[in-house]
This record gives sequence, C-alpha cells and structure tokens, in this order.
Amino acid sequence: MDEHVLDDLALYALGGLEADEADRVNAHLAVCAPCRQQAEETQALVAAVTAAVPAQPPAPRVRQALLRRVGAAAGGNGAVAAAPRRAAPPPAVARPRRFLAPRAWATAALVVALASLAGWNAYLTTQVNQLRAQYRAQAAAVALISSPTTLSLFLEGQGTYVTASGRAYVDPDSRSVVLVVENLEPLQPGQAYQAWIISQQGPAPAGTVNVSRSGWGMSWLNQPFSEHDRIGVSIEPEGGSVQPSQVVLLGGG
Amino acid sequence: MVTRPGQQDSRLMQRVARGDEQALAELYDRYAARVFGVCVRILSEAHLAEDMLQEVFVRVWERAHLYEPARGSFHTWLMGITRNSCIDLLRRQRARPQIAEPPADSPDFTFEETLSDTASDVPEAAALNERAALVRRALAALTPEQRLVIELSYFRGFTRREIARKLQWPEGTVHTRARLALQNLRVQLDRLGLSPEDL
Repeated sequence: MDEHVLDDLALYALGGLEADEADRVNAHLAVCAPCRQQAEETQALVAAVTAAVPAQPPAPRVRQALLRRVGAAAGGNGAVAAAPRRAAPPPAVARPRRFLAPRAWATAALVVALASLAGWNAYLTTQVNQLRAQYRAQAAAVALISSPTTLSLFLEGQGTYVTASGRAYVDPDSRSVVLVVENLEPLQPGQAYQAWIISQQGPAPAGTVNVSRSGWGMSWLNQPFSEHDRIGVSIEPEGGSVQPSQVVLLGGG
Repeated sequence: MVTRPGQQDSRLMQRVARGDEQALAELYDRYAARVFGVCVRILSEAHLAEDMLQEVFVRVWERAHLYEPARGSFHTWLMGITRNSCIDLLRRQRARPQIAEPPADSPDFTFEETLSDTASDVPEAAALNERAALVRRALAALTPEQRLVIELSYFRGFTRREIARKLQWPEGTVHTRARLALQNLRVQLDRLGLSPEDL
C-alpha cells in the first residue's frame, strides 16, 4: 500500500534522496494527486532558489550554435531571426587590389605557409599525444580505484595540515599506487608536493603530486608499494628532494 | 519590478512543441542568462557551462511536448532540467575524478560566497538582479545549517546519506534540516511579497 510522501518532498525537490527513495516517491506521486500538488509547489519553491544565482549573459556564439543545431534537427536552414538588440555584422567591404605579387614572392609565401602548417601539425600531434597519455593514466587510475580487489590506505594530515587527507589505492598484483589527496594548501612558487614510499630502509621519492587550487590532486606513484610500507606526502622545493622535509600527510604501515 | 511571465511562456512553449524555432529563440533570449548563471554556479567552469546551456535548450526543444503548464511554471520546469543536467555531469565527473572539486566541508566553502552579488551590470539584467537580491535576503534568513543542506543537495548533487557522511550529521538531521529550510524559505519569500511563481 502506498504511504503519503509529504515528509520526503523537501529532499525530493532538492534532489537529495537516494535513487531508490526517489523511485518510491515518483511511484506514489503518479497515483496521489494531493501529494503531487504538494510536490509541484515544493519544486517551484526550490526553483526559486536559482533566482538567487546571479544571471550571466552567455556568449552570443552559444545562441548561434543552438539555433543552427535546432534548425538542422528540424530539417530547416536554422536561420532564426536574431534578437533585435543584436546588431547585424557590417557587410564586408572589398578592397581594391593594388598590384599583383611577383611569382617569387608567392612561392616564398607558400613555403612559409606550408612550414607553419607543418609546425602547427606537429604541435597539435604533441598535444593530442599528451592528452591521450593523460586520459589513459586517468582511466587506469579510475579502474584501479573502483576495483573491488584494490587495497586502500588512509593518509592523515600532519601538524597544522590536520584538515588535509589522502587515500592511496594499491593494486595487489602490480603494487602500483594511485594517490588521491584533498584539502592541501596552495604552495608558494618554487615548491611542490612530493610523495614517498616509506619502507624499513627509509623513504624513497615516489613522484610529485599536482594539486589543484581547491587542494585536490590525483597521481600515480612511481615506486611500488610493499606490505607494511607507509606512504607520505611532503612539501619540497620544486624538482623534489631525496629526503622528505615537511611531511603533511602520512598513512599505512 | 516583478513580472509574471507564466502565460507568455506557456504560449511560446506551445509554439516550440509545434517546431517553431523562433519561439525557442525567444525563450532563449528570456532565460539564457539565468540558465547560464546556474550552469556556471554548479559546474564552475565557463566552457562546460556554455555547452550545458546549449544542451538545456536542446532538451527544451526535444521535450516541449511533455511540458504541462497545469503542473508548474515554465521557469520551474526549465530550472529542473538545468539543475538535473548539470548534476548528472557533475556526478559523472566525480566518478571520473580528473576534474578538481572543492570539498564541501572545506573552510572556504560558504553558500554566501556562491550566492554573492556578482551579477553582471548589463542593463537588461537589472530586473533579474533585483529579484536575485530579494531571494538572497530570504536565503540569508535561513540558518547556516539549512543553507548548507540546500547548497549540498541542490547545487552539489549530494544525497542525504552523502551529506550525513560529509558533515557527520545523522541522516534524520539532514532530512529535518532540508524540510525546515524550505518551510523557512517559503515564510521568508512571503514576507518579501514574493511567490515562487513570480521568480
């Protein structure tokens, strides 16, 4: 038997119910007009919250792209009239040709253009390869993090870095480690966060950890992890150190 | 000046449902700045927000026949599509954590900051900004905990269980604070003479 869901409507409208709870509410709303009306009023109230967010005019290109897309989908030409406030671009003015370039000049220009294109192509190829490598590393990290067999270690903030934390994900077969950190402070120029695998023989540098402005970062460590090792993160001069200086995160062991 | 756009929106939506591109363009001109503001607010990155803005209006175009004015204003419907589309993207990013996201309980996180008065000074945005200021006043009258629940659930896409875990609150407390937050918000909007349908 359906029970009324009025008590759940606030979190339902805010999108804060778990999926199974939201399904149950949806099922009830489909058959209960009073609850449905209350849900609609609550959704209107929640939508009002968005009115507090400052409006921001988007770039005109978004409108153009939308109308092109919709026009193509509708089978039309997509030529929807622009809003009146948007001025039409001035017509192109043809400039009189003053003289014909000599053939040698044209050849040189062509060579320069081809060289530029080749350089640009090489640059783009490098960029694409870097992005592919980055994507592969991230995809592999996500696969490791989400694997049920992955071991996980908590890293605790040290000293004044008590709000920082981290988690190391260890592949039980390869002993490779993905480190995820949170709440790390932005560093001064010339400094870097460096990871360490700390065994009984001492700490071994395990690569730097890039951290976003919000203090979040994810990196593969370049040292394998062994049972009973600990993992740490420290602040070091850019380029890294051979011994940890100021340890900010530590865990495992 | 508060205007009531409901009927005109409904007529435009009827035209959109018949495939009228001009009607969609008019709705876009009316709501794009608000939708874009919400997209930027949730996604934090302008280029993602621009893509999402376009997606939201494509969904309006594709789903116009599903819109029923009797079940709520176009604004409510549109903001539902906007919020849910943004949160879906945000959740996919969380599952694929290459994009940095500030932790919800970090010291620098405040609802006030995210709703601060940073609106554009474009003249046509003045009426929107006036409404925004009033709604911010209503939100400012909520308790910090009530605002936090709205922020984390609506703008950050966290569920009750996730909020409870993040803030170390019992799940029942999250539930109660969400309910009280909306009750309180309704009272505050009433005091300011605002109806959700006006917004």
